[in-house]
Amino acid sequence: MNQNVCLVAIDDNLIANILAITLFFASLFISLRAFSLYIRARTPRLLVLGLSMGMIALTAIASYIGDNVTTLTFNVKWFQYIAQTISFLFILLSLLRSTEDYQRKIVRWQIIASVLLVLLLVLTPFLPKDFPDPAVTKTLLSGSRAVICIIIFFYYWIAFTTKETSFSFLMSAAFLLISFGYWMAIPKYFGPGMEQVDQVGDIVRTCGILVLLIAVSLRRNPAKLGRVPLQLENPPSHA
Amino acid sequence: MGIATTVLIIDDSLSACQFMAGILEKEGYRVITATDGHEGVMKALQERPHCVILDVILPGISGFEVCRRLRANDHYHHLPIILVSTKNTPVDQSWGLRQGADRYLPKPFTEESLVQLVGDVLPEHLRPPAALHHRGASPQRLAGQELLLALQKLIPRRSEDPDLMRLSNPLDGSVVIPDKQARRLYAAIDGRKTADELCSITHLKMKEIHRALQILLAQHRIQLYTRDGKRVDSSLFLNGQ
Repeated sequence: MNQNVCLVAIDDNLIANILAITLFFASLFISLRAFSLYIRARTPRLLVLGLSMGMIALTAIASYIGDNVTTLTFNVKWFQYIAQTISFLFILLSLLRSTEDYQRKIVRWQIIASVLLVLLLVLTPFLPKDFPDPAVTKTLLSGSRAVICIIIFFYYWIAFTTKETSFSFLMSAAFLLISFGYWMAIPKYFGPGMEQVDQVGDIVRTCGILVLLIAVSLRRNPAKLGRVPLQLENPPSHA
Repeated sequence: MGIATTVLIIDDSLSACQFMAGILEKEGYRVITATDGHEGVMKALQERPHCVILDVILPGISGFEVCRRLRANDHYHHLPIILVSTKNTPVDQSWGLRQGADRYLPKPFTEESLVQLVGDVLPEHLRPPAALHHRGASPQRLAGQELLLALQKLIPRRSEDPDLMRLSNPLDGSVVIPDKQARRLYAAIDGRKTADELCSITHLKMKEIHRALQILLAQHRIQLYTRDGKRVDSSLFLNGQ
């Protein structure tokens, strides 16, 4: 208990800021890497990942500005909750099927959703500051992220039990931590005095994001790639 | 000729075994058969065949498991294994090849395609004279203009990679297509356009399309199909195969 009190005593926003900054840089890194590879690989899943993580980076920076800039009104919570839910949802959807048609459809829908979300971000100053029936609305909006993340966790856990790879293990661990972090944010909507739980949740989520970063930084053993090195006899002349 | 080239057929259907055995014996191969996975593994260890034709769905252990067990044995690392199955979606085929099989032959298949494939996976000195003669008249001899003409009418489709982002890291760089023309072609492939139509979209010449297709085929990024949806053996279009 003393430890929790101590957390609050440091700074109300410190842990939330650390989370926002970690989330921003980690998501931005993953997003930029996914986009740069997409240009050279043209795999729709990379585009979905890039767009999703880019949107999550945007929510992180919006959240940071919303929490720290007091001279302007930014009601970023709407954008933060909805954009994160939709971004994780698209990551989940992109995992479900591998067919080309399906992946293309996902990309199309995600581009439309991203445009709408950016519009929501632009409208941030005009959005109502308070949520209608705050406890329920916030629980639904914030809880939906937790639900989607826990589904992603199960997806990776099942993948890991099918074939043990460090990538699927780390991804399942990351999404479990992120999901737990989101669940722990919910109690504060129902009454005061639960901020410490929320802060522990923020720390758990930060750990989750760091694990996610480690997972996507893994290199695959080239010997296991299963790709056949191509040896062309003679490249055709262009005459 | 000393010892005859031995082919082990593992298939639970007796009629399928007899059908394949008949074709291969006519070509000069010595054929042994097994009707389940355990018997197949045992015969493979006892008889040391030069090639194994393996049905995917078997009683007891599956064809995939037989394939894995054989590959796990040092003596069978290079043993040519052909999987045959009615399960012939791209996912099944890709999974089968990942288990260590050299080729995947969808059922039903023709006499020619079986002989062709067995001939393809065996080194030349192990092919009986009849099979060598057969290969001489096969489409493997497609070359030059003939090859390009055949290619024009085919439809390239992107291969599914269900493991990407599920079991393997999509950001590790392994998905990159290093060749610019191959990348341009890959971006234009939608599973409906023929190679000829892709030529006009990508502004690549047919020879460049051929080369780009070779790169993508070798990387298992695409598969070729006829207009009526039949999959084409990609090795026909790969140099040095």
